Amino acid sequence: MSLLRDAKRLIAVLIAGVAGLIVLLDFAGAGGAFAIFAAILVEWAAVITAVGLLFGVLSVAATHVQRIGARSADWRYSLLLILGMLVMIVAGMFFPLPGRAGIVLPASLAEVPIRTVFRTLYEPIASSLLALLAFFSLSAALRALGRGSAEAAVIVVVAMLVLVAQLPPVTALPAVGATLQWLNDYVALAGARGLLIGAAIGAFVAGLRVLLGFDTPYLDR
Amino acid sequence: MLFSPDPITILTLLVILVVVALIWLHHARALRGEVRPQRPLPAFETLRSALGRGAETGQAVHLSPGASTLGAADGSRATSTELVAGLLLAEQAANEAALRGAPILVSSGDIVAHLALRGAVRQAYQQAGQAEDYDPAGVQLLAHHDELAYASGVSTLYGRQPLEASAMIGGFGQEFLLVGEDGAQRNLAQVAGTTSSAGLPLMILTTPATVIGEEIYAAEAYLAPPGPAQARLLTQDVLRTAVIVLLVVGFLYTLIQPSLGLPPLPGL
Repeated sequence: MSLLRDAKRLIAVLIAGVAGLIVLLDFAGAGGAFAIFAAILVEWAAVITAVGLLFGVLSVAATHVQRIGARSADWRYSLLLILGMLVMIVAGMFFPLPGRAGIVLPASLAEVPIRTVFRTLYEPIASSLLALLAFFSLSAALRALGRGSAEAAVIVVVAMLVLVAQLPPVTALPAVGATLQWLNDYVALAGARGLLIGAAIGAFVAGLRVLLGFDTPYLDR
Repeated sequence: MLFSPDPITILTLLVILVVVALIWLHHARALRGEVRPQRPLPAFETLRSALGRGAETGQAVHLSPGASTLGAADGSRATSTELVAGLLLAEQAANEAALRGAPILVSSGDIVAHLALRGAVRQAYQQAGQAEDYDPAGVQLLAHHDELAYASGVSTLYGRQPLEASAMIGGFGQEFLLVGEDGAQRNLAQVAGTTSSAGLPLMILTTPATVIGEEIYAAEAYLAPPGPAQARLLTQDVLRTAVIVLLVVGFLYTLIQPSLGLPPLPGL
């Protein structure tokens, strides 16, 4: 259906387009009233995201409570998730701590006791997952070489060379450091900039098409 | 004052106006059917054939824009446009899936992306005339602003149910390895793409069907029938050509500038 005949879609596209244009003009340095309106819009976006997060939490909780109630497969993981969620909510909102002005509640995620829960539970798990990446990358490299992929072979060879070049005895060899620096500054940087310019062009066009209403991935009809 | 621009701002606005004009022109051309043949990208053929197989086997095709986030006012990794690319791909793939009767499973790692995906997928089913086939449980939020948690969630999805394929196009970094390697060990057909230089090498290692850099913005056009979706490719091609010409001219100018006594380029 044409955009002009679909009032609901037209209004949504106009709101998205005008809001996006104001923020874009501010980003381009237009200043003046655009800067004020853009700041307000960004604040609104943060509030909308927070409300969205609340709905998301409720949706996730409802899904997992249903799973527990129905004793679905892996319901114990759902129970663990609900318990984890409750621990964080209680720690963040209802766990008062003694402060200078009496009993106070934590003001942000970076404060005790949320920080304590994060450090004792979450950070070790996240670090373990990151440590697994070393083994995963070895396994992936061996599989890629077995597959006979030319691009993968180049990546594996370059990774091996970089690893070897980091060894202190190799770094001490004449010209190695300078050669590596030259490769990094010119060859690697040229490739990275090529990737960046291409991606920026794609992102620029995709963004403007959304602002102009040609693409409407935000529209929920 | 409403508007207080400096020369750089005016130049930026002029460039934006020219690109807007190009977008309009190319959209009109695409509507008239004046689109050029696309160079083959085997990754999207893998996804298309997986959707076809999914209709026969009943196994879902997993779609994901990664842990892409909208905005980055807090300094976190900004992947808004990668998310848009992932959303458009999910919408188009959902449209194909609805038309063919293939099940899909969509996951995300950002609440705003999740809400947008729900809308995009439902819209795709409605447009295909198969609104009753839309299953909200098929669009899942696995984490929020936490790439590692999201990757763990996708690995769990891989283990929980047999999948026909997994298309992960959007904002992925090093966490992709956790998912990509898991999928490779399960012999799952995977299509992966991102613009992140941290994620791309890991994708190439684990996934034969990798979409590199700006190609992710062409994903929708490759899945969609010829028409408006191809307009974006036309605009990107023109801009890419302009940038290449500018780079070459700038390089040549820098070479001859000292001998002819010309002024140096700004910033050099």
